[in-house]
Amino acid sequence: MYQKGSSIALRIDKQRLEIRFLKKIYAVEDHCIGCRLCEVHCVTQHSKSRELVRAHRKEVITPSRVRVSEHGPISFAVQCRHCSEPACVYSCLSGAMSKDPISGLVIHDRERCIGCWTCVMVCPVGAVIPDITTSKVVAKCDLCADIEMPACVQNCPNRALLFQEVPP
Amino acid sequence: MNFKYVIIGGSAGGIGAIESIRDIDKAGSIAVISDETIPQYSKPMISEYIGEGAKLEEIIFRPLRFWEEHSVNIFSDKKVAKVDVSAKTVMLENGESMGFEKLLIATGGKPIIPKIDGAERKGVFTFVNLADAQLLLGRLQNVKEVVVVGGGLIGVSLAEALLKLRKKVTIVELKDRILNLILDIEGASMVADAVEHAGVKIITGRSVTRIAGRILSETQVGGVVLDDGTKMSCDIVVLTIGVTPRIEVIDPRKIKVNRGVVVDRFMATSAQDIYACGDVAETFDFVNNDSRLLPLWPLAYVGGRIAGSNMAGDKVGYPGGTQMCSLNYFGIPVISIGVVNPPKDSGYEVLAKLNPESRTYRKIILQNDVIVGMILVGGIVNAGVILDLMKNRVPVGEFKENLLSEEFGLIHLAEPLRLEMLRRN
Repeated sequence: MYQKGSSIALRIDKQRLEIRFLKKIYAVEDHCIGCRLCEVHCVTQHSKSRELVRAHRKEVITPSRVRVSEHGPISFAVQCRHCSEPACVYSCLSGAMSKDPISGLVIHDRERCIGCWTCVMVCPVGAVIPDITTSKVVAKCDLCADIEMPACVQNCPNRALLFQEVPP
Repeated sequence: MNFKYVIIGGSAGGIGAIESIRDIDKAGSIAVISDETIPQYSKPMISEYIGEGAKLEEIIFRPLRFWEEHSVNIFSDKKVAKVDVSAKTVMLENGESMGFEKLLIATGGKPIIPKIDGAERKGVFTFVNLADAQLLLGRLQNVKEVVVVGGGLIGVSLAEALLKLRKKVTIVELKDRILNLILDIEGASMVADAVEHAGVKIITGRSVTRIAGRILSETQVGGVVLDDGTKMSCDIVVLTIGVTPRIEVIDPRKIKVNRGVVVDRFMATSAQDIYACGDVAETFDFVNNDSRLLPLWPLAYVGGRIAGSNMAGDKVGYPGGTQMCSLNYFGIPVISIGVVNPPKDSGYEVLAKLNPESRTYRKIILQNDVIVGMILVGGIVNAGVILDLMKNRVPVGEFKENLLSEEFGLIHLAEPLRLEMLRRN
């Protein structure tokens, strides 16, 4: 592909430079029953109140950034891979998508997004979702950067989503 | 002045090159020469600048501090007169010259100006860069009627912007439909319906033969005359036929030029240490397996990254691009990639599903079970999964029947590929 690269994230402490692999979410097909709780909790986590019932009943919510696919007996959840060579960042017309050099996260800035859907056109796993509540921006996984464990992983009843440094 | 890297052009290609050079070489000196004042704005967003009243800082692609952050010597508002290949020097119009070790030509494109009688009148505009947009915006205040010549991507996006400013807009398109290069008859008519419903008049199969003057003020635009004799009044005319490479600074005896600058898969030109990318270059098309002009922002950026890596000493091949557009005009999402109008009886297989009620349309074009093109109107989710299958020439025979489903995605792929994608880094 474009360039060699790996998902290394740098953590800079006061005293030392720690190099470690970026933790990512991995789906385990055999454990997924397609219950879509990950979607529900993703929406909740990205809502104003972060309360499940309140968010879904009373608030304007953004689409889930994790998507469960089902086909015959197979199901699994897909979300942004935070690629080392991110096609969405390389294609973004407005500069709204960027790859954070420190955390390794692919970050989407809603304020700068113009909803041209170019990232939807190029994401190889289909993880950038047009937000039709506004029709002007996309939504994508941010690994719930402000909580320890992403909400979809935390709330999966079957351990069908893992949050770890290396693939299962 | 001598620099390790000299880049002509500070738009998508130039910025891509700088970002990849700095991944590899933190210290090598970089100079960027641009004839624009603030080159790092987003060219596709100039219609937002017109229609949404966006300020300059809202259409900026990289922050104003970008040059400083990347230790780049930026020479803005400067024009290049010529590139001296043997002396490895770039001469500016103001007499200055710059020596380089590696040069990137990322000069982009300029508007195609059709030969139309009366095109010199005041009120005739082009629309490819910020300066064009600023000139146009400056004239729009007292304007009621606008004729947009050319119904391609730029023409339609400009029409949408002008409509937001409550102008009466007419698009005149030479071919039988708007967006004819990126859509087929069905797709184009769905978009045309939305464009017309919003209030834009579309005239197809006609060309503008004359731009007429205004009564009592012959030097000002007063209307246009079409090739069938139809006369239409208007206050301004915008020419949006397309772009052509800006190759004036290049000596074609020293650097090979076809329709654009010829580059190899490393974005290198025929001249040692000189690279080119973006709208000025003919780059690799992975669908057609040839090199051609593909004046598209995302491809310019990626081409720039590849050029930059190679200029900085890595050996990185360009995976290639192809015609690929995503539009969201008048609320209809449309994605078009690759071959979308295959010639009849030529061995292409076409899968298509039109749903007039939900205003969705899906068309997939295959050749020997490999996807070579697609049009999606309405439902565009997972478009990138299909693009990835195209790029990697994955045979799709086993799951072909699923391609027309709006639910099509990774789940339909064979297990090894599916797992690879799910665990992608």
